[in-house]
Amino acid sequence: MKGFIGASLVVVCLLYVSVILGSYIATTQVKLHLIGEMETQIKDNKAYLALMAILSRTENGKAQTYRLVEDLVNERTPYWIGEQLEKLGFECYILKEKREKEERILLQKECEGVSYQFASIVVPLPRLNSTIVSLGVG
Amino acid sequence: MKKGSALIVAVFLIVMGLSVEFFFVRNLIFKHETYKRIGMEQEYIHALNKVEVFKRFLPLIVNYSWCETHDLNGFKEKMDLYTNMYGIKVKYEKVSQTNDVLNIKLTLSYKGSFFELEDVVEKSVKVSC
Repeated sequence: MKGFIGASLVVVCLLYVSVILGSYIATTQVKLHLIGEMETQIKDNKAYLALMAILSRTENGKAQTYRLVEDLVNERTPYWIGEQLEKLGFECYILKEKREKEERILLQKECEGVSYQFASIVVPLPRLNSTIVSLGVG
Repeated sequence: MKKGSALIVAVFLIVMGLSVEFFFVRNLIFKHETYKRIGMEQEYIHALNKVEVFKRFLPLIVNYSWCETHDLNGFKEKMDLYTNMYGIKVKYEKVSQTNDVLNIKLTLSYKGSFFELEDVVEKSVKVSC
């Protein structure tokens, strides 16, 4: 009877140890998952901040927003956005425009093995039109 | 004796099940709370971004809206169409015109699921069509 009680105590202890270890593993897994989730959000915000930083500037007394709209209306490629992105330290980027369900790539500097997070903004166009410009940074 | 050991095994299993469930639920609560907080912060950042983007394009929007109608009432109507594209509501505090300059004071509001953001903008925009 004594041996049986001792053995059962050992089993109980082992079970508790395994449960506690299991909980640590489970908690670590949850934390890693959440860190991944936050990194995605940070990248998403990075793209937004890059767009905002570029569009908030003025060059030769002209706001960059005017420049962007002019380029989009005249269907010119806004190369200057690429130059400014590189100045901000972004090596890999994609700039897309989506107008009436049609998507076209305005600028692209892709790097291998890099995932992109996109930030989209609505750009107003004359005659009550608009277009969506998305910037993806890696 | 056999009955006794079976009972002990059953108790072990129940205790283990409850413990695992406890940690599982604790993790779920932790995950849910963190997601909620990330979601709230993200929504707030997105709302701020939306309002800021709208403010950057505001002179253009005012110009385009004015050029569509050339009168103050029509201007508000057209401007509402543009603001709807941004998901922002606009309250016109003041709209007046002096020659080719429009003086506007707007309250921009964006309603999220956790909060409502408001911003007041006062601007003089030179319009040219």
